[in-house]
Amino acid sequence: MKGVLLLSGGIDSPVAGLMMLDRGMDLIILHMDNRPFTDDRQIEKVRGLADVLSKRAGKALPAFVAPHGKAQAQIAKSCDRHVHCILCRRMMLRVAQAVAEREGASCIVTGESLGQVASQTMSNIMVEEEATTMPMLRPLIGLDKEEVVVRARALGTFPVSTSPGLCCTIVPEKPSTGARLARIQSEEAKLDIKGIVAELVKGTVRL
Amino acid sequence: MSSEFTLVKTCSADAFDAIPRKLINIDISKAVESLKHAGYSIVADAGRLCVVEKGGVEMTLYSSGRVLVKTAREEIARQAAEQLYSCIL
Repeated sequence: MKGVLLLSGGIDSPVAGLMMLDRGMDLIILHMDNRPFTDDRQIEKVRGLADVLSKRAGKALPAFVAPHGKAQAQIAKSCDRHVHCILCRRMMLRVAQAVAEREGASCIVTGESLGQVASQTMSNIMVEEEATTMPMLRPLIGLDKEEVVVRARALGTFPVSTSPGLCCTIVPEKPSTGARLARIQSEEAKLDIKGIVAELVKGTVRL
Repeated sequence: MSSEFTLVKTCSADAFDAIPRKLINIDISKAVESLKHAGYSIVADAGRLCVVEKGGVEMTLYSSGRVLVKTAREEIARQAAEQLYSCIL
């Protein structure tokens, strides 16, 4: 079984990936590059985390980077700022599905943990998941942050994940925690979703 | 302008936040035009914020007037924020 791991450079997603590796899953790494709304160090962090994951897997895992910054700007310019993170997540999942289909993977793995941040409330997770038809695996969904941190330390990803790096600078001040699908779809109608996803997939490069 | 903003080192990155001491509201589309004329490169215009670059220093300008300056050096951040504010205020 092969899956696409959405790897952010933070604490959670590498732990999710390692847990799935330990269950025997073959992983393809996909990082959504949010520059210029982050900094270059995020890429270095992802490279370091990919190395840890590859060591655990016993082989070099294929790793890809999608140029997501331009899409972020389009979302911010055209859509309601309060739902930005949900639109961003839906975009990521569409790209992940396209990469998965291209690479022969059959699921998407994320580091989501219920209620940890605004995009991870139950209602937002449901709305985000609607953007993909592919099964989504969330091995951390029932863990709290401290439990994830303990695992990250044990697995060796914590020092890389917490090394200096700029967090996403386009996040709105008051993100929605209870989005409804109809509202999200009306916001997405302001964007050329198919075109943006196609451009992102076309621009995806090996790490 | 230096007395009119507070410069704060971000906790997890080589960057500084310039935060205006007075409440201001920046029209980003107008600011983008002013900054273009002042020789800034527009890296991204996201409507409610923009990313610009000048002299090798990248800055993110928010409609609240906050400016995030991507540099590890405080003096460079202070100068960059002062220059940027002088173009838009």
